This record gives sequence, structure tokens and C-alpha cells, in this order.
Amino acid sequence: MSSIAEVEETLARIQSHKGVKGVLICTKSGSAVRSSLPPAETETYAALITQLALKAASVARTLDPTDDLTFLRIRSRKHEVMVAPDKEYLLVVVQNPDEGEDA
Amino acid sequence: MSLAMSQGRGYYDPPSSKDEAKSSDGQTLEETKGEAFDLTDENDPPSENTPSTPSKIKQSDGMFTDFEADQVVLGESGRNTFTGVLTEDTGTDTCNFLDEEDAGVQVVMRSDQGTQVEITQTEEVVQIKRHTRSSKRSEEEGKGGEEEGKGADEEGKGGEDEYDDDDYDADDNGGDEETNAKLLTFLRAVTPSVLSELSSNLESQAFSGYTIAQASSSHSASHLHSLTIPRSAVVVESNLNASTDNGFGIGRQSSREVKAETDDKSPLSVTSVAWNSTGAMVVASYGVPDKRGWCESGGVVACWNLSGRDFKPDKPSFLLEHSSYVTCVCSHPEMPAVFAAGSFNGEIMCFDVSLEEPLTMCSKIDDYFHREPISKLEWTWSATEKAYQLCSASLDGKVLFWSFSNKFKCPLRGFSLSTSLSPNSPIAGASTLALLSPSPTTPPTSIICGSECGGVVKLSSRDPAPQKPQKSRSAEMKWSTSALQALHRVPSQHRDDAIRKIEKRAKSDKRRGVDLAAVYSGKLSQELLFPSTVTFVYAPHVGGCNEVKVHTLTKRVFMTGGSDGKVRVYHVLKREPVMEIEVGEGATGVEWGGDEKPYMVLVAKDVGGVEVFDLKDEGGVSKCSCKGMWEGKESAGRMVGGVKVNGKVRGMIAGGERGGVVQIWKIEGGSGSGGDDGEEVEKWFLGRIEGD
Repeated sequence: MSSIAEVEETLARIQSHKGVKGVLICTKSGSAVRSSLPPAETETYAALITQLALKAASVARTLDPTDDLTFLRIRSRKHEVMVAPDKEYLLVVVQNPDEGEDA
Repeated sequence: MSLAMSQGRGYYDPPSSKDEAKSSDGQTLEETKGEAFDLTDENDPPSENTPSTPSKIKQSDGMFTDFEADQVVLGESGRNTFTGVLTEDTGTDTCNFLDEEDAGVQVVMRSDQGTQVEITQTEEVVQIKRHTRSSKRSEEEGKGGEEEGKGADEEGKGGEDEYDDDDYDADDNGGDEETNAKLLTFLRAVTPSVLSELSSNLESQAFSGYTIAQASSSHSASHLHSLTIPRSAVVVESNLNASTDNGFGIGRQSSREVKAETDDKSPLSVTSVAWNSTGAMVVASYGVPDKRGWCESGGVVACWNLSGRDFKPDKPSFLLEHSSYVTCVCSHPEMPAVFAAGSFNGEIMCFDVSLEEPLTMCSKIDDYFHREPISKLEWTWSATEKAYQLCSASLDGKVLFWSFSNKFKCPLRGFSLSTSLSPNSPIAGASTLALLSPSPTTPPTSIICGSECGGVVKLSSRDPAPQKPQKSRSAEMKWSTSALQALHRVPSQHRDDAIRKIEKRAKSDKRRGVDLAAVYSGKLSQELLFPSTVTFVYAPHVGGCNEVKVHTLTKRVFMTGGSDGKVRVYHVLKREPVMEIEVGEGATGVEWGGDEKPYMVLVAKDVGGVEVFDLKDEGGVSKCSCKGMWEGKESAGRMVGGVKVNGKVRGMIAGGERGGVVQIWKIEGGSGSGGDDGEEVEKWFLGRIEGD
């Protein structure tokens, strides 16, 4: 399988998960690489989440220099935003956790 | 391998050396056992736990009663959920345990070398949920005892191996692009954990029944400032014969009527308030609100720059005087220093406080302009002029449009409120108006007007005149474009007659051509120049209609506040209101809560204070009231100046009191019924009428 197809396939797999509102991959500088969200939302999410994730990573590293942030979850009234960071990219998944309860 | 545990509130100090790590691990375990876990089966003293790894194994040996692919049941006790990090390597990783009961916004971090462990403690069972990097785990590592430790150890390393064996193909056949390859590596690494989080999230009960304090429907208002104008300024203002002995005597000598209507301390009352476009400045107009007859003394417009360094509540940043009472102000939607004011005598003024001479424009008093107090001003965008125009309503029953281009020399066009549509509907002076424009940068299609007798009507504000009018055949003189447009608004059967009249007058005035001013001096009948365009009459208030406000999100819903103590919400197409709130006392001003709170309504009351309502949540019950403060006590000033929400600073509101005090409050909280767009709001309000 080509890598591009596999990337798409993996994203589609996450997107098809119950309650998932959107998936996006962005670089550490805050520009979106892939997204299933509308353009305006993508831009906001990419810009804001990147900032928060970098801050969280710096918190984790300041607390313990040998540690690193690997996952970040933000629970809000409407959504749960999950962020999986890496050296270069961030995977952001926006989920509506209540959808599972209703179903 | 070690399992480090500590209570969420506790602080676990990462040890610097391995030896310390072991001992502190032991201590932490001991603490945990004692306080939170209360494990019954193992009660090893810390000394026995000194070698970290064996102690852990020993612990788990006893505690792990069930072991499945992703779950480890530890033991039984309590009812708390803890998440933490299980580390395989040095044992120096910390972990934080979140107590389910005080979990706020849950942020779970995971160490990149460790596995995330979720420990759920239910009644007598302590569960450890382990999330590793592999999505599928075919092999069972946990065989109990020492091998559990090793298994977990290997799992970290083995996890990566597993990817190769998994569905994923390690060889990138078509992946030539570096980015794609990078993306793929990244995705492979993070996908399993994200998927497992997604699933566990749906099952999680951690937030069920958890209500955020902020989203509760309780509002609270805190009083911030009481803004006043210096009394000396008021005395100067009254200028006529202001020789007084105590500085408060304006009412006594200069005007008996003023004294009769107001108390000695504050001769002028706030007639309206406005926030400027940046939300930093409050503008208030001062006058006497329900005065009849002649205006014998002056009024003021005062501005306070709330964010200014030299802000003083009793010293306005700008104090602008006028020869008659100022009845209303309206700040420019874009320029922060510009605002318009209307006077008791019917003048329209425009101020720019950034200039040395702030009064930039002032209209004249004329039969064809306003002859009665201006009751309301609104800015409106003109597509033809590509600039903002001013729309004014006056108690003489006219609504006029003014332009900067002719320096308010004469109104561009106008409408009259008198109508034959509904002989029973009480129409007289326009006490308020609101413009219905589809968007802020389109000219209004209609105007909603409230009258002093309680009538609520809709006027069409469509301009019948073409943008480039043809020269009229019967005209002899040269007509300016605006004059021709004005002529086109005259009904065609009267047009020739009008041309004759205007040109005759222009000739006798020795004018060279006919401009807009000449049209007005032609002394046509008012009905011809200011047609009545009332298209719809709404169910009237019993008392005067004090304010009309169009909803900020949808232009099809508007609200009126009346002296009869009722606040009504109308849909533009329905005669009867869709909602009605009894305020009890006269509502002198109404205001929508803004885009974030589409169902919040603020009502300024004649008896004083501002009430906040949430229409969606028990519509008629006041959520909170804002009481004015004056000299450390609750003031009982009548809220005649209305109420305005600051468009830029969330929750900031201003209200004007009869005593001359401008009160500033901050409203916190509010219901979570936000997030609706205009259509949803409209639908909800329409649903109210069908439900009844």
C-alpha cells in the first residue's frame, strides 16, 4: 500500500470512529496538513491547539527534563479534543463524547 | 519497573538517583495504600519495599486478581479513578492521579517511554487499565509474579516490533514523498492510542453528572463604577443666570421647572448612554427626559474613557456643552471618537472628540427638519454614498436620514409615521426606532418605530429614487442629483406642480440651480416630501413604547419595552408578540445580551436598576438584578437613560439614571444557551407562538 493511501486510510479509520467530529494533522508551526474539518475551523483549531500543545509539552519538560508530552486531552462542554503530538506533527481529533451515550 | 503513585493533590518529587527513587517509590506506594487505596491484602512495611521492582511485583502479585489484554484488576477499595504512568525503565517517572470527584477539565498526559495506566478504584476493586502503543495485543504478557514486570518491560520494546507484523506494511511501496512517509510514521505511532482513547471516552462516566459552575443559569452582577459629571459643570451649563450661592442652585434660580422636576443635587438626568466602537469609552447625554414646553437651560454630553490612565468616575474625559438638553447619543460603529447626539430642540449634532473643536456638524431647526426632541439616532450604511449616514427619529413623528456629505445641512430623505393603515393604532411622535438591515453594511430595508402612544409600526425604507435620476422635462433650471432624487420621491402626479413651486422659489431666492436645500425651501407639503411608508402595524403597547431593539443575530426578531411594564418580543411578520415578559414597572430601555447569549435580555426599569432575563430558561423570571450604587449606598435612581451592552468587553453594561449617574456593571455567568445562529434563534421564538 502506498504511504499516501495508508495515511488517508488511517485518517478515515479515525474519522469513522463513533462521535468523531473531525480529524486534522498539523505541523508544530500551526499549519494544517490534512483535515476533515471545514477550512475556517481547521485554521482555528490548528493555530490554537498547536499553541496549547507546545505549552503543555514545555510544562511536562519543565517538571521533569527527561519527560515529554505524549498526549493531551481537553474536555469542554461540547467536545473532547485529543492531541497526539510528535516531533514534527500533531494529530488533533475532535470528538463529541455524548454522541456515544445517545446512540 | 516501578509503579509510582501519588494523590492528584499531592506532589511527587522526582528522585535524583536510583537509590532514592526506590525508597521514595516505596513511600509513595505506602502512602497510597494508606490513604486512597486501602488495600486489604498487602500491608508490607516500607522497608520490605526497598528494592523497587520486586516490591512492585509483590504488590501486583497480590493485587492483580484478573488480567486481560488491556485491563488489570488490582484490588478492591474506594470509588475513585486514578490515571497514571507506569514506567518500565528507571522508575523516575511521576504520575498524577486525578480523583474522579474533583476532576475538572481532565488533561491526561502520558510519558513517551511509558504506558499510560488508568487505575479505577471501584468499591473494593482497584482496576488498572493499561494503554500501550499497540492497538492489538495478541499475546498475554501477564502471567503474574515476576513475569508481569518483564512482560510490561518488553511490551514497550515489543510494541514497535508488532507494527511490522501488523496490518501495516513496513515497506513504503508507493511512498516516495518524504512528507507522506513522515506522516505515516507519525500516524502509526499515534493512531492506536488515539483510537483507544476515543473508545474509552465514549464509555467514560467521569463527567456524567458533572456540571460546570460557569454554565449554571445563575447570573451575578457586580457594580463597577458610578460615573458622574461635576456639578460645577452643570451650573456652567445652565448659563442663563447661574449666580448661585451654594453651587447646587441651578434649579432654583435659572429654571423653576427644572427644580420642580429634579432634585437639587443633580439637576440633569442621563437621557441615554452608549459605548463607543472600541468599548473603552462610555458616552452619556444629559437633559431632562420628560420635559414639556420650552427648554430653558443647557445640556451636556459626557464621555468617560474607562481604560484611560487618568480615569476618574467623577471627572469625565470630555464634557461637551450644548444650548439645550441633549436627548440621545449614538456612537459611530467604526470610528471610536465619533458620536452623534440629538437635542431637545430637534438639532442633530456630530462630535469627534479627537479634534480640538469636537462639534463637527450641527443641523438647523426648520419646519422641514425636526422640530421636536430627537428621541433616537442610529447609524446606517449607505451603499450609494459608501459611508455611514445617520437616521433620526423625533417626537414630531418624522424619521429623517442625514448625510455627512452635506454637513447635516438638510436631510437626504425622510418618512412620516402617520398612517391610515390602522386608524385605531395610536401613532404620534416616534419615541424610538430600530433599523432592519440584512447586514451591517447594507442599507436598511425597513424601520421599526415605536411611538410615544405605544404604537409599534414597520416602515419601508426603500428609496424609490433612481441612483442617476433623469432630468425632468418640465424643469427649467439645473437640478443637482440629490435634488432630482428628492423630486423622484414625490408622487408623480404632484411632480410637475412641485417643480414649478421649487423653481419659482429658487428664482426669487436668486439661486443659480436647484440643490437639495432649495427643494426644502420650496415649501412643498410635508406629506409629499416625507411620505408615510408604514407597511405593517404591530399590536401596540398600552403605554408609550420606550425602546425597540432588533435581535443581534437575526433581523426577523425584535423586542420592545413599554411604559406599561411589558417587554415584548415580536417576529417581523407577526402582528402579535411571540413572547411577553411582565417587568412590573415601566421598561425604559431594553437590550439583547449579544451574540453569545441570544436569549438574554436586559431591561432598564423606571423604578431603578436593570433586570436580566433569560428567555429560554423560565422566560419570565428575572435572573439577576443590577442595583445602582451611589455614595456607598444602593441608589434608587430611575433608569431613564436606558441600558447598553458593551459590544467589545463581554458582560460589561452601562445604564443611565435620572439622578445623573451612569452606572457600570459587569455581568458574570449566564446560561449556556448560546451557540445558536440566527436561524435557530428565529425558529425558537416562532416556536413559542405555536406552542401557546
